[in-house]
Amino acid sequence: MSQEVLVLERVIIIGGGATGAGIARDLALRGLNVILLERGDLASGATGRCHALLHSGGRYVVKDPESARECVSENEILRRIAPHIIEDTGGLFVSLPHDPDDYPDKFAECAKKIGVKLRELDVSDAYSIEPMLRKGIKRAFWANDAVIDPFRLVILNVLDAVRHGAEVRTYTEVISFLREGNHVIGVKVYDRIHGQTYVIKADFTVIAAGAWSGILAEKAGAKVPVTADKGTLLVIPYRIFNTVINRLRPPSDGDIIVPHQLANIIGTTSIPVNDPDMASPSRDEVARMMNAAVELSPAFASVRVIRAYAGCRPLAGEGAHGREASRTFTIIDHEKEGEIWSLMTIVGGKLTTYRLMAERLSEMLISKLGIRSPCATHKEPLPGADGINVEELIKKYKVPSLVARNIMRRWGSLAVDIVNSARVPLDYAVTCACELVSRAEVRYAIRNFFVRKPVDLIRRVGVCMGPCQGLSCILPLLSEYVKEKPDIDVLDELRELVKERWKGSAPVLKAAQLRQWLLTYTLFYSAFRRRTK
Amino acid sequence: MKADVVVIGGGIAGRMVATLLAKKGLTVILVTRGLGATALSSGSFDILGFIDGRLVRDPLEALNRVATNSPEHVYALLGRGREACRIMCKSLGLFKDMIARYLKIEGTFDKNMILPTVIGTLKPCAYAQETMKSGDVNSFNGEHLLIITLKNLVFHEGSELFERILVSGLTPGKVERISHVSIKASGPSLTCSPLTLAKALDKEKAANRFANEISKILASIPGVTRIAIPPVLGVDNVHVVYEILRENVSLPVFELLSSVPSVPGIRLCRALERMSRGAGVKIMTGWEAMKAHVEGNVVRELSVRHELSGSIERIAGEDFVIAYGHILGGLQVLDDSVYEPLLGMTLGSITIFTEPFKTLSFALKIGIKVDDDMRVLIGGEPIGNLYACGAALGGVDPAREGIGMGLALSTAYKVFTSLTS
Ligand SMILES: Cc1cc2nc3c(=O)[nH]c(=O)nc-3n(C[C@H](O)[C@H](O)[C@H](O)COP(=O)(O)OP(=O)(O)OC[C@H]3O[C@@H](n4cnc5c(N)ncnc54)[C@H](O)[C@@H]3O)c2cc1C
Ligand SMILES: Cc1cc2nc3c(=O)[nH]c(=O)nc-3n(C[C@H](O)[C@H](O)[C@H](O)COP(=O)(O)OP(=O)(O)OC[C@H]3O[C@@H](n4cnc5c(N)ncnc54)[C@H](O)[C@@H]3O)c2cc1C
Repeated sequence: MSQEVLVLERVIIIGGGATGAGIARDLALRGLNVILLERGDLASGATGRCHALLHSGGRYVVKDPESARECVSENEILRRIAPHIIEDTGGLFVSLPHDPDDYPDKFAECAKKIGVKLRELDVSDAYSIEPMLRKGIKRAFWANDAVIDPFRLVILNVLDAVRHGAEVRTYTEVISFLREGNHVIGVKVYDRIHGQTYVIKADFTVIAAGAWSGILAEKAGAKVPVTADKGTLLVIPYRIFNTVINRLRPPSDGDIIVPHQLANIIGTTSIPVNDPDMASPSRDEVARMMNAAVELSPAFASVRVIRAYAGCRPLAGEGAHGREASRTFTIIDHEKEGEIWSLMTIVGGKLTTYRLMAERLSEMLISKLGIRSPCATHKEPLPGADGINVEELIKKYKVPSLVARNIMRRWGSLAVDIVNSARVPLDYAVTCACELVSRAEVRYAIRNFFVRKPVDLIRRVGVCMGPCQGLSCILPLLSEYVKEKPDIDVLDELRELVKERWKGSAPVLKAAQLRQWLLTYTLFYSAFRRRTK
Repeated sequence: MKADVVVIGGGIAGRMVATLLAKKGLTVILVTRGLGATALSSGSFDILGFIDGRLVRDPLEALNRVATNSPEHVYALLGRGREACRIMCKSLGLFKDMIARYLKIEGTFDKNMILPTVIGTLKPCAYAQETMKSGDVNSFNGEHLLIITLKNLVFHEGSELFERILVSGLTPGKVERISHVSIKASGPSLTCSPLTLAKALDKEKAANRFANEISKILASIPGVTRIAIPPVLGVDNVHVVYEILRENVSLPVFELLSSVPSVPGIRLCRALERMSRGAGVKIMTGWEAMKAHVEGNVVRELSVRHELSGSIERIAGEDFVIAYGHILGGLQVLDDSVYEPLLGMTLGSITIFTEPFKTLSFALKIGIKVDDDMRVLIGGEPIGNLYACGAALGGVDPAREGIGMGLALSTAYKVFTSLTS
């Protein structure tokens, strides 16, 4: 273990979820020198395991007006700065026969007070929007909900931060804090890929580690009240609904269904857990949510669930109780608490409000550092946001239309760079047929999107996420990877990919998915076998 | 409709039994829904590859041991020790001869070949399609291997990956050097499925062009001793394609064992279809067996449903044989249990483990129980005229144990002997 001391940095940000990435971008745009540290891959925490709903605020109007207000303004801003990674699905709030009768009026009244735009629909109009909804809906409202791609959101924030001088290190875990008296002067990190420990120094450190923030703050000698609240989600590999469906009742299990990319995602539960690392979906949660989904549409009774995953909401407050807890956020300046200097922690919030959280924290931080520099994140679009015409892309670069559309669906105008990196027509060959990812996109991601392991590509470009859960794309993916980065142990990476996909399949394994896995098993088992020379 | 014997399932087990019976002069109807595990198989014929994770060198000797020492093992159904070996040899020998007109398979009983797969892993097997035999690494010695990849083939572009995995599994000295070339085979220019490419190569002109291109390449890479090719050398015409290749390229050329989708698997299914048809089996493809009508302890009739039109027929028979495969075939998975649909019985329940392969291995062990004459048991009692063979018997994990076609063929043969004795 070497103890190498690196160059002095200005600000360390711990946590590569939406919050950390947002802070990195915000500070970098203001001209600060930042380094973002993430112990796993970008968006591997709550951000990559959430429901991906860009809230209109509707869900919170009754219980949590402050969060609702934040959602209203952020929803508008994000639609402006990140239109290419938002699908404007709209949202329906529906009241089922046995949902409380008084809730819809209360809901409409609160929404009006807060300024969440709603439109009550004729029930028949709701059915023409979503014909698969169950019969007998009592009332229906239309809201401004949308769907945002959390993986691309993080990567684009990081990409822009890096373009403005920031540095990012993934698989770099903060294991302790360096202190000089009461000052935090840096961190000690462990590189999980190379197995090395080293030190990074800074003038200021920010903990944005979601549900892990409490554990980290404690290591620095500070205290942060945060509760890890597990939520489980289920993936159906096709769309029964094309709008976000919410139930008009106090938030409960399985009452939101979100169309995301090619899938429908059913969520969610709310269970406080002690250790965010141990949060995994249980078969019992799966059953509860499927029942709730079937209440919304009988079509869910016969669907194939391909995956379940769980994330931990970082709720602000000690013993904060699941659905009762506010979804707003808290920024703690540990100096003010009289504990530690040069350290701040941010917890709580939502994906929808990540930018606002980053802005508030950055404001506080630069004023402490005595710097004046205005926020730009509400105005400056994220990379790829400047619209281009897909037909033009197809014509000018001779890209097969399906490939062009899918690259644009994920990357907006960054598609031009990706397409430019292709050399021969074969680069447009499809690596992942479920999610329609081309070889060019995979290769571009390996080179430009901070990929350190093949599994990162799942989050980066969506490979292995479809119905086959990697059966047909793991090999092409790995072979693309070794061409770019030859010094990996391919069998180790293959095993990791298969195991990673299994993790989400086990809780939902039923007939069709079991057969699917039988093929994966037969194909890959030989790679798991101990060497028999 | 009426036949002496009604066979349910058109995989390797069903075709074997049906062909043997028809050759004996019995009237046989074979009802099959479509393709099953046989169509997904890699091209090898596995008798026994691993015991407790250890590589088996002599499958016959190992079979003898298993059938003698483990009465619980499905292989014990063939009989004790030598008897099991006799049945295995007899069934594979018969099969090899019966299918030879349509597909050539090669190998021996007493020594497993070790063949490379498209991933680069190595797999033991007793027999394999003729096109694969030269890949046996037992016979490698200081080779200069040329790996040919096909530019327009989806899935096989990973020769670096293949090389890495292959080399990590080989004993040093087997391969001294590896070269790669990538050529475009005939067929569509962007990536196409292995089956499309294989069908294109079925045409002699395309095969000749392909062989020419390879021999041209060989001229520019001196010292090559063996050539590996993705498994796409034709579907119906593989023998001719392989001959052309061998004539043009005077070096050992071999196909790698396939992953799914598998051209060798489809090739085998087409050959099986021709073999059984040639023997006079009446084949009903696209029909699913739904229910066996039992009176007393015999099956009188079988209800079958045409998958597309939905029409239902009843087939009467003296005897019935279940050969509908495992959960990729006729066995159903309902919630957490495996279910036999014809008689309506639950065979066992699946436990889900955190380790993926443990779960699947567990599920694969569940199957139809039979008596010494291969008659299906309900609650320990045999049904007088209902037999089962092949993957439907469960009891093995093909990937882990290296058992597959060998079990299907030998149990099919055993059913045949029970039925005709
Ligand atoms: C089931 C579920 C559904 C949700 N649905 C929605 C929704 O639809 N809409 C919405 O707006 N919000 C939703 N949320 C909330 C939203 O996901 C989170 O509020 C948000 O993603 C939190 O982002 P974050 O960056 O703060 O935390 P995280 O994304 O968890 O990021 C923290 C990061 O810190 C890293 N880290 C931890 N320890 C260390 C260390 N020692 N060193 C370095 N790095 C470390 C972690 O690996 C992690 O990547 C949902 C949450 C859950 C759980
Ligand atoms: C991916 C994979 C790869 C394999 N690779 C190899 C290998 O390389 N070498 C090897 O030796 N073994 C291999 N095995 C194992 C081997 O393929 C099987 O053990 C063998 O093919 C089983 O043959 P079968 O005839 O019993 O079943 P199947 O081949 O599954 O045939 C069953 C048939 O029954 C039909 N059917 C199902 N239900 C009904 C119904 N209700 N009515 C009518 N018809 C029905 C199906 O359509 C199918 O045609 C592999 C298995 C798998 C899954």
